[in-house]
Amino acid sequence: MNAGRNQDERRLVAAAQRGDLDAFNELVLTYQDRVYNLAYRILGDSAAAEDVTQETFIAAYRHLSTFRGGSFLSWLMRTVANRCYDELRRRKRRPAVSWESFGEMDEEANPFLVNGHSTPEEAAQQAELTRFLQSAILTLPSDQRVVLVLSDVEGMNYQEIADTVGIPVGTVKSRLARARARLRDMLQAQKELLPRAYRLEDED
Amino acid sequence: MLGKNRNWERVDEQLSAYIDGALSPQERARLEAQLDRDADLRARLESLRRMVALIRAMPPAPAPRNFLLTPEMVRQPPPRVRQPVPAARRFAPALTFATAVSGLLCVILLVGNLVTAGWGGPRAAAPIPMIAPGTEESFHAQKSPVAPAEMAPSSLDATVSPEQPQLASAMTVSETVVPETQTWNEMTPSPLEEAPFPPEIGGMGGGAEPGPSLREPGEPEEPETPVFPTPAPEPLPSEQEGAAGATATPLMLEATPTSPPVEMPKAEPALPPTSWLTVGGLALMTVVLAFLSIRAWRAR
Repeated sequence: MNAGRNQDERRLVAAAQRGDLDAFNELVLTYQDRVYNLAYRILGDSAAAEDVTQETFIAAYRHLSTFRGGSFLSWLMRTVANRCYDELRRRKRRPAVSWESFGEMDEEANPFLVNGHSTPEEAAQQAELTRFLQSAILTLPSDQRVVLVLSDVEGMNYQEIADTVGIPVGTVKSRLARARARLRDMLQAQKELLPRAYRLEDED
Repeated sequence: MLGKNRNWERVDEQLSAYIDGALSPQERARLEAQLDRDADLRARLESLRRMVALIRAMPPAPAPRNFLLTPEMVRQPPPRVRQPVPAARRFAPALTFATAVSGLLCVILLVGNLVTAGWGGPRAAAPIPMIAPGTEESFHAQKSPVAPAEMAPSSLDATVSPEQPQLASAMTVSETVVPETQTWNEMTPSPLEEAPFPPEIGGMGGGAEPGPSLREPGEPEEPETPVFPTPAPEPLPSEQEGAAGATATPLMLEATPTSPPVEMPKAEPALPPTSWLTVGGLALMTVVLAFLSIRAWRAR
């Protein structure tokens, strides 16, 4: 099934490389959620994430001739990660989202409150936790943030992250460790903000 | 095992890689042995693992809309295509600079010309006398009356004293038109005091009344004086100056020969016309350059 999907993807990419926009739009529909999610988790801003997503697909179509096989998704993710980096660099002088602004996160941009939870309370707790985590991620330095999102949100392994960001595997490892440790310390320090069920330490 | 001087960063890196299954078999075995003995390290690993699990459990944020491409989005030429266009713009700075230099030069020349023209005063108006001699005559009238006045003292004072001013001024007018006679007249006064001048005066100012009788015996210069009819209609503007000239006569006796108005027109035109032409040319060039600069800057 996965092989069939890969074959399908290769066919669409080949058609798009010949200028078939409809074929490329099929790829857009397939991957837009992944691309948007990555941009949103890194940038924490739905409007900016939309812009980056659209720019990524336009740039991908224009530079499709440079795609030399392999995973089309990885290629897309590399493009969107680099665009997010550019966006973060542009924002660099602006202060990052403060830890305190966690309660003001854009709820509309996190429309995952409903699915998968048996009770409204659980859904509400999950929503609160997600806002809390997103807010914590946004306090990370951009180089750590990108690596953390690629690893723990996108599920990439170290080598894939190294290829995407263009850094050695050893650097991926240390950046990821620092990002996680920092988040852990943050969550422990602010544990009263976390729903009881999601606190890191067991409390007896 | 967890000493006080432990490198926590290094520990966290090991724990993080352990969670991802990214440690080498040796590293992993060593860490697991430490975990078995160290409860604090186990707690540390556990909190990190929970934290990572929380992040991984975050539900994905789905795309709020479709990002399908339209032909319009794609048709826009990529940045590379836009770059050649500034080629037209590449000349814009140079053109702007040239415009500024040309404009500055034009202004400098213009000011320079105006200043020199200001010093030259009447000289700047050089071409005008040819068209309307009266204007310049009136200007020179202050000096030129000397010529008749010079003749006047001896003979005219007695005979035509009241009319003298007018006549004298009228004569200066004639002198400008017929310079040769004038210079001749000026040279001659002393030897020909009595005979030539009274008739001349009569002929100019008083019209034909006393003229004919006196002229006949007069000198050969008189036939040339008929040129006067032209200046005759213009005595009015010079009347006042004539009066002034009469009073000034004694003082300016020697000035007369040196101030023939005829020389002026010849000396003046040499400098100005060329420089005015240059200024005009520069101004035109500035306008053309400015136009080209604007075109260059707007090139897309």
